[in-house]
Amino acid sequence: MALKRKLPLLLLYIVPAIATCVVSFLVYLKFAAEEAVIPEAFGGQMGFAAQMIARQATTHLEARMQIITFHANMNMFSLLCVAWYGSGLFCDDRRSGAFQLYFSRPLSRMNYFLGKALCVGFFGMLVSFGPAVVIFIVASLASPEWAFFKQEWDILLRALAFSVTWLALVCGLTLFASSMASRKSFALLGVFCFMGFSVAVAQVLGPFVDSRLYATSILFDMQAIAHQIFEREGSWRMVQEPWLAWTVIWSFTGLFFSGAALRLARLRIVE
Amino acid sequence: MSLLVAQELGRRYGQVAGLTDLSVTIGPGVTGLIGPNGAGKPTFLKLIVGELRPSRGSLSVLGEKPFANRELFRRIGFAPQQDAFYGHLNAVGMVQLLLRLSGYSTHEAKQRAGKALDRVRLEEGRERPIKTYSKGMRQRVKLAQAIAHDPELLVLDEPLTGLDPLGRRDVLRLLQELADDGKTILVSSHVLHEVESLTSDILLIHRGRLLAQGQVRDIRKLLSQYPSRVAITARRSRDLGQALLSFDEVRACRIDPVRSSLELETVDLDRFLARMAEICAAESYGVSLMKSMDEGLEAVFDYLVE
Repeated sequence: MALKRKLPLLLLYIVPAIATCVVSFLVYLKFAAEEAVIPEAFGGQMGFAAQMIARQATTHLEARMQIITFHANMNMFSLLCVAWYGSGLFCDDRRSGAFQLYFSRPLSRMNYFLGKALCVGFFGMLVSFGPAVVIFIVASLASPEWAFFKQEWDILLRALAFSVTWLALVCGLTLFASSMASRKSFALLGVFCFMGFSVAVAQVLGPFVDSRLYATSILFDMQAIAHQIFEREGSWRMVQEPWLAWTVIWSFTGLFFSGAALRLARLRIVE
Repeated sequence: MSLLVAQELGRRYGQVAGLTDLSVTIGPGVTGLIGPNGAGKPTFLKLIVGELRPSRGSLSVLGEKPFANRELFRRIGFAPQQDAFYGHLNAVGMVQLLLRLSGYSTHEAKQRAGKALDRVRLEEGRERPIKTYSKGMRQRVKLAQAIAHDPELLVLDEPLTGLDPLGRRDVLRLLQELADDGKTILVSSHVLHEVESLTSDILLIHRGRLLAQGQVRDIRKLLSQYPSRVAITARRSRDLGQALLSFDEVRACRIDPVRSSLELETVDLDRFLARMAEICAAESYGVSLMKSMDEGLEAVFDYLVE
């Protein structure tokens, strides 16, 4: 029984955990090999100091790109984790009547709502931001004299900004679905249907009506936001205007949180 | 001393009235809240525990307005009718979680949870998930979480439902102990004999209004339009019946000579009982049993709801 309960936990977290270990190891190898390999492109005809700087810059750039790429790819896993753990939070309480016991304690509805939101946000952060932190720490420790930490510290803040944006949206959507649905499975279905639907709408409207309508897809918006936050010059994206992507994402986030809070505020205790 | 005062209390759900116009005062001890389905019992209880805001009127619980009053919630224990548990948690974990939400430290919450579960006599299976519990065990967990923080007022919605006779006896004993400790207990139930075994102080609501309040026997006396029914078992039932029919206050008498019993209706029970004692002293009718047939809560309830 215990294994059955922990199986989703294992499945959802084991892949990101293994991937984090592998990427961390690769980053470590880059730094470890720094002294042994001199890239021709930088070091062939240079002096020793210049070669060192060039080598370090290459390694840092590669480690930075590893973090960015890996971080962006963890989005889907964080969506799965948040949806799995968050979709039952409100509807299961409503079905079992547990909220009656909650609200007879010194606990306001706002406390209850924030508690649930932070709980599900924490699960998402473990997958979304956690690996970036681990890889950053490994790179910092592996680099000589904490050079990676000193020079590339901004990557951690950028990763945090991206994670918060993404998780705020996903948590809002999941909690809203949970507040609307009568069962966890329906809420889960609602989350993925919304995601799929937004992409489908963008794919239909974007090419045929106006390319700005690609912004109706949350995933395309996050692509544009990642492009801006991580300054990924030359990377491909569907939504060209970052402000449009930000507007859509935060509008949806606000809408979802407001909807879920309203549902909770109007929750009838006596059925 | 009034611990709970409601004045013209009402609560609407859109067009539907959950509670219409309830004015009532409740003092210390055990009070039974009874009423048919749709009377507004759960609404009244939820108003008391501050989970609902009154649409009209006023309500004071332990001297304070209950709605969203977080400090007051520490002084109230509530056991809802629904199971309201997370099935994967065990009894200790569930009670502990709710105590943590009340602001107790982990250590104190665990201690209090253990004591509360001891008090409701849930000794076995505490470490098992609640979803494997019987209905009776779940009722005990509900009671345990309601008393664990030592509240002054206990609000219990159908606390005896699903309990076996032994469990019911234990819970009734526990509630009596809590009442003796000075707690105020409001018990809602639609099983009238259960309420009757716990208290004779009742509050009867019907269609969102107060129909009657007080001791069952006193309320019965007020229902003068309904004659009191008395059952008597006597060896000489036919002779006794003839004698009783001569009383002014006796309206009807039905004799069953095979069972040596008779049932009669009287408009003045006290006077009848006095005269009955006189004739029994004067002549031996072999009376072995005499009991009122409609002084019980059920009969009073039926009359009032009619």
